[in-house]
Amino acid sequence: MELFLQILNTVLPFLYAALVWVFAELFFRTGSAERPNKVKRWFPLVFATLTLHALYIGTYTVHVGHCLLATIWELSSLIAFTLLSIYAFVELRVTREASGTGFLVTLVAFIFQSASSLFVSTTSTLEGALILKDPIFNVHVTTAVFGYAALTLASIYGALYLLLFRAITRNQFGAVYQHLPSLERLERYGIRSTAIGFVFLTISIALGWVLMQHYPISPSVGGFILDPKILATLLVWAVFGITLVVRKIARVEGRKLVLFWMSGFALTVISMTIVNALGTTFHNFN
Amino acid sequence: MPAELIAIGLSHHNANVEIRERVALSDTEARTLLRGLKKDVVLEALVISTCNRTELYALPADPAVTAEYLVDFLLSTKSLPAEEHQRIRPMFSSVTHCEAVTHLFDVIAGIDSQVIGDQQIFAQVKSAFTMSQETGANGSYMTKLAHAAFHVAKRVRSETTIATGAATISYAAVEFCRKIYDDLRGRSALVIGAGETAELAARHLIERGIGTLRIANRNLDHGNAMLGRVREGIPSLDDEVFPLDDMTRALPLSDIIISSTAADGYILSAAQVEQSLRSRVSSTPIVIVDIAVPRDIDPEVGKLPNVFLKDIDDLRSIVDLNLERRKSELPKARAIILHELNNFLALQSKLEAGPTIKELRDRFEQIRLEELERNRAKLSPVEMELVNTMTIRMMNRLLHTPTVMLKEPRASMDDLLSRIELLRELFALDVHNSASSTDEHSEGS
Repeated sequence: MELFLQILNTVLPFLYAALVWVFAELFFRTGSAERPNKVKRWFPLVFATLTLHALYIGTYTVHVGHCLLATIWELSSLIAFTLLSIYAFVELRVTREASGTGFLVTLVAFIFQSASSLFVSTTSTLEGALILKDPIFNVHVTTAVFGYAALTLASIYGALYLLLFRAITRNQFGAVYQHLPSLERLERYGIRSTAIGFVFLTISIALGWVLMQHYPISPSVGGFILDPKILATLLVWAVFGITLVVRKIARVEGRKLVLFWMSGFALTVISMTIVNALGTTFHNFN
Repeated sequence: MPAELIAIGLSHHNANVEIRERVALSDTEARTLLRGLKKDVVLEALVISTCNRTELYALPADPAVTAEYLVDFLLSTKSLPAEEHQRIRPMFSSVTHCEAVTHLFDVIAGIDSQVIGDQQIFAQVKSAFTMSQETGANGSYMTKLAHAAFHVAKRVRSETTIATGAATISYAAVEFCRKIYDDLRGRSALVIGAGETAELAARHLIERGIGTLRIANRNLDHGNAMLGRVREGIPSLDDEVFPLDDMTRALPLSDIIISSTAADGYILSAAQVEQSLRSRVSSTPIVIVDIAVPRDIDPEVGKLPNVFLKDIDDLRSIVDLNLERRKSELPKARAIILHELNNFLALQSKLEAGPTIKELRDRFEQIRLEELERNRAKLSPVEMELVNTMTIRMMNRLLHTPTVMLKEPRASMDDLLSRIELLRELFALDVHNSASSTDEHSEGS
């Protein structure tokens, strides 16, 4: 099993690199009009990568005894997987189209997977951490990673939207105008990613609440409501939830909506940076 | 030896629109021409006639059929007065064989078009091949040429970006709308004006699947006529034609507005658009494209929130950029054409080389047997056997290099027939063949 894991661990970065190359070709050398047709040819490679990565995660979990979430390198692999799978769900599987964001997504996924493959250990070093064996905890963290990955993807769409918007208003009809899909499509994908991220974060928060009943937070932290990581997550969850509600009820669309969810992403980055800078004493369980 | 392909033609490169119109062939005229040619002038022929070119590709049945002869034949179909015939005649250009094939590939790939990367020409050449087939002017050569040409067009389209990006103002207007709205099916557009540019824009909108098309025009009859033309008599349920004065009624209903009238001043003010924005049910943006000169839309409209306004200069810069981009793809397209030309020529030469190789071997074998026969009396059976084996080996070795040379793909396009021709001339294959066929004929009669 160890050998099998090592083979998969070596193969995965190459598969992601191949995807980066494919999507870069599609992004830089193909007009947005004919891109959807060309991208179809590469579906098998995307789904083969996802299948092998899922196999890797499964095998790793069985072998080590917990999901890919105990170390930063394990999480990196999970992030790569979630980014690609959400991208495939948002653009490729549902709509059979590709906006050109595939290049950025696969590039980020490739970086995460390469870092993971280089430094991850395939032997468990966390014998004592009981919580890591808890299936609820595993689902809690995995859904949180999926949620944040979806929101990251939404921010990529948001950034591309603003880039194209700027190019159009300033009459800059170069590469950005030529290669990116329409504002409407970028907004649609962004909303779809936000909705997916919101659902995953909701599940993650709910499971976190369940976990707290079994593994109370360290008293030093000051309880649930004062845990910065939980606070930050709730804030991010609320911003993205409000984005969806505002769109549905107040019928806010276009640039205003994109700016709203981009502020949500900025909030995520800022809050997570502060939380991580404050150290690891927060969000610890007994 | 097969006949040599001749291409004659007249296009936007060497004739103005007035001349092109005089020479352009209707469907019936093209069919008449093909049938007339096929009777006893050519083995196979193809006629392409569009607004930008009239070209004839032909495999002559007789060496007397030259490019000049074909030009006269084509012009005679048009029954032009003698002086006009004489005036137009020198405007025709002609190319033969490899250059003719290359020219056809250039044409079908859109690199010889007035607008580089033109996509319409592919369908036009395809119809020309179909017509050639229907009139019986098509043969095995033209069929192979057609397949090669279609393959070239497909490769150029898929391997280069020569056909991407709008190359006309009206198309750029619609493409700009598609940068805001992905799918036009659920959208409604208002086209102001019923002139040529407005109609072109309306056509492009319909090609892109616009849901509802409203037309505002001073003259309602012209507007209705335009709607009928662009919708080909099948309008969508909500399609409507408004008088220009009543245009504001259509504004809140429209996601896209394209204006192209000959009005002297602005026909749409910022206040009117602002008012319509307030009345809009949808919160989606309004895309306004002003392709009129002088402008129809007050530039202040562009400052309103949720409005994208572009004028003809903005669109021209898109078109210029796209044309530059298309031009930069020309070397790639030419490389594909050259590659496919060599493939086509290699296929042709293989087909032509087969009989030549056989004839060459037969000729050598005949000489060998004659010489053996002549010396049979001087040699013992053992010596005869030895000489027989030796001459077979010698013949095979001598023929090896020319055989390989004939079979291999051509190094360049100029090479195609030269090798076969040279061999046939060196070993007098044609002379020998005609002699033997005369003998056979004499014997038969």
